[in-house]
Amino acid sequence: MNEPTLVCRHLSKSYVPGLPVLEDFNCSLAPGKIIGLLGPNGCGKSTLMKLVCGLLVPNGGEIVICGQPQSEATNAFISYLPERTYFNTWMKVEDLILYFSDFYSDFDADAAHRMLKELGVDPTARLKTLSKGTKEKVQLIMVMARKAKLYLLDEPIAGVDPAARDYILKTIIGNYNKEATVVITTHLIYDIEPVLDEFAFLGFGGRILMAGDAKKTRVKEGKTLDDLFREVFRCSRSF
Amino acid sequence: MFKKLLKYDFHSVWRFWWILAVTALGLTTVSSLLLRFLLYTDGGFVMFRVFAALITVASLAVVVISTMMTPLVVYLRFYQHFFSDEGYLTFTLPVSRKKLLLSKTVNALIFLGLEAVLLFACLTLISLIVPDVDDGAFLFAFKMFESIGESIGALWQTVGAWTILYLLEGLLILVGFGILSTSLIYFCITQGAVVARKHKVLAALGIYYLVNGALSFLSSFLLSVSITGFERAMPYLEAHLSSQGLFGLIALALFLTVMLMATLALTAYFLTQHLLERKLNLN
Repeated sequence: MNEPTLVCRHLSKSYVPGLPVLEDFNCSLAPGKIIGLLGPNGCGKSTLMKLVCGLLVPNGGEIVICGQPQSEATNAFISYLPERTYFNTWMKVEDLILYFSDFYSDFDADAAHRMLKELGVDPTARLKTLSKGTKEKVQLIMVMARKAKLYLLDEPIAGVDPAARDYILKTIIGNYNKEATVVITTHLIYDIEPVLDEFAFLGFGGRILMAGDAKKTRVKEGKTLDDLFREVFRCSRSF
Repeated sequence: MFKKLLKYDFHSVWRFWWILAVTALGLTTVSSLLLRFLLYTDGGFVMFRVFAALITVASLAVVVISTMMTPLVVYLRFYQHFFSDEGYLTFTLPVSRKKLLLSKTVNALIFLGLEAVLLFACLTLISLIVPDVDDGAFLFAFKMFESIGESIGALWQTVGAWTILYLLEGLLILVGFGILSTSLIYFCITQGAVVARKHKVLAALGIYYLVNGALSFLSSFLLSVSITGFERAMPYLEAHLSSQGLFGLIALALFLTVMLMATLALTAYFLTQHLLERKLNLN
């Protein structure tokens, strides 16, 4: 049996004492799957990703990535796309490729150049001269050009037009390491639904309200995940 | 990995610094040549003299700006790389936070060193190009170097070979001051980012003034205690110690100063490392 890519045990995190964003969160993600982490604002999706990357310090619990406790060493396995633009804007796109090649042994510079060409981004352009949408696409290319074991994509299609969403999803599907786990968080379930193998609906406190195989659930419930999401989270703050 | 980190850290400051350095050196050279020309040609046109004066003021301004801006840029890069959105990239690299901090500290020391070299080079340029005339305000730098040499000579006459040890300790104090300042500022910025979710820079400034105030109080206290102790012990020392023993005591006092600075710098450094490893929540 394949070793889980990500295991969280009794994970908890609160920014303000007494108001946990994640409380006793447990999960185990198998390799080779694209998993949608779906939930309303503030349910802890981004917090979970930041904890896995080591950007936040948990209040309790344990995170294991590819069999190793979370540390800077496990960052070598993770390719993380945050929900914001985070590159040095004075850098050129080609500088970024060199930067990623320098620090990540699994970075495929040829794949990055190919994706940039497909998108029509000039590698000699400085990031500060690019539009917000193009910057986000460049970020996604850098992240997907790695042959990582765990991809964490936080809202990869938020704030971009529908045509760009298609391109982004195509990029994700076409470039990820097939033995890896891809975790995607988003509110735009309708757009992301076709690419998901598995899903989890997260309620407040990081409680998993519903999870399973995306295709089987659609057949069993006779609804799309988008419809199911609306039903589960309909006009209620009690989830 | 450390070399790669240092390479990118160095480049992020160098791309700004070399412009300041070349401007400072260029303007200093031009102003020195103009001053030399004025000395030999007995003034020349009024406009030319005004131009020469303006260039001289500009070169001095660039040197002063460079001296102030370099540390500012280094510390600003530290903040941006770690605690702005760029932190999402920095802290997801497969590199330990120990190495990240070490790289930033070494980079700061490199640029503080380069800035000292630039300042020295600018002053030397003025003193070398302006001819050796005894009077004239422009010979300040030359005279300054001359007076430094005379002071060292006088010290050698008095204490002999102890001069070398004193100079070494003086140099260590200067380097130690650079390391201490950098470590303290890095600590304050990091602590500011840990305690504040929004106004991180404001929090860092507040912590800096608090820490600086506490250190000033501590150093004033230590200084007054040492002076009082020295005054009380002086009759005994004069009676029982040879002049060589007294010189050795001064060397020991300087050494203790170096040790105190090193202790403070290391404390601030390891506290920063602890905060980065255990307390930092990047939001």
